[in-house]
Amino acid sequence: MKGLKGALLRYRIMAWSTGVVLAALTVWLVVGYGFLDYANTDSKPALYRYLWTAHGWLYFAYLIVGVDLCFRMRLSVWRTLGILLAGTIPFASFFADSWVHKYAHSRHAEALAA
Amino acid sequence: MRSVALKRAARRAFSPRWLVALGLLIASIVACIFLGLWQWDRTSNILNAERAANAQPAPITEVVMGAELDDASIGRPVTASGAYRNESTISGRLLGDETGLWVVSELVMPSGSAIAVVRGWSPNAQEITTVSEPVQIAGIVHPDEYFYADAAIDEASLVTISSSSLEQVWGVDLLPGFLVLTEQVPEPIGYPKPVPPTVQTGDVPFPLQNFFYAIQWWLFAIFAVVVYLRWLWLDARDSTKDSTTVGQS
Repeated sequence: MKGLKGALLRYRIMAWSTGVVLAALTVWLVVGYGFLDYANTDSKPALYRYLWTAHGWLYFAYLIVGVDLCFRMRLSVWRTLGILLAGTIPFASFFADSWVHKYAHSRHAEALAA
Repeated sequence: MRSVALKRAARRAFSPRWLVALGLLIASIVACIFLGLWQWDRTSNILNAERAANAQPAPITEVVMGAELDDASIGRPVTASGAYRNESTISGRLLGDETGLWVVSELVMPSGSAIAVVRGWSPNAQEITTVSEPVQIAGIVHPDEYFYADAAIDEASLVTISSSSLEQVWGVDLLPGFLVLTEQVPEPIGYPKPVPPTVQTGDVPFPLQNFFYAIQWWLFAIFAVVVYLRWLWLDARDSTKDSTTVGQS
């Protein structure tokens, strides 16, 4: 398991940054469409659009570090897909991050200790 | 060694499990391409819709507001009604290659606010017809001309059009910028003759979000190929390890 520690850290950073942006956007979306008339495109502030664009690119980085981690851990196809998709579901990436850390510690204790 | 590993990976790609994976890969590539095209279409649809909306004449009150011209309002076609009051001429203006002057009139609108309107070009001051009845006009929004800003403000020899200097000359409050007349009811007779607008319409904001989404979908397709190949490679390698060194998972 070469570089597993680094891969876990990279994944943690991307899972949290992508997750925080997505969570904020989800709340903003609900409030926006619920109370601020975002169905009318003109009333969407520029920052809201920029954040969605930012999430798009953050998610792309998330995919790269995520798939790298899954390969290093030799995760199954389904687990890998689950982890990759977690970046698009609000709050899911936090759970994915905590699961993957626990799993890594139970499976690769000696590699992580090194 | 490497070519052997390559051959092994290639052979493995045709195993039933990896054929299913290949099918999934192709399906996701096709999906990514179409999703990207969809966002690409959205990008151009949004642009076209906004451009079309901007090309549509709007009442002046919706476009020219406040003390300064909004960048987006420059070049927009607008409609207005009212009556002309004060008038000045701007010397040294060409129509084709003939030197003459531009006639700028103050249009007082029903709301009480007023804006400078370039009614058109005339070869000289004598041939200018005045319009005293109420008019309905269409025109293009122009920003104030800023060159020669320090030129003496003399009613007889204005060289640039700026709402602030016309305010001084006429002693009135004007909306920012000015209009270049394109249509007028009643129709203009003789001179001044309407002149072509000199500004370009400002472009609409680019829908960056959809544009990037389109690119990202296509990047996802490439990503899927890389993941498939890497996975196949690891799987082929691991399976040979398993067969040679038994007992190591």
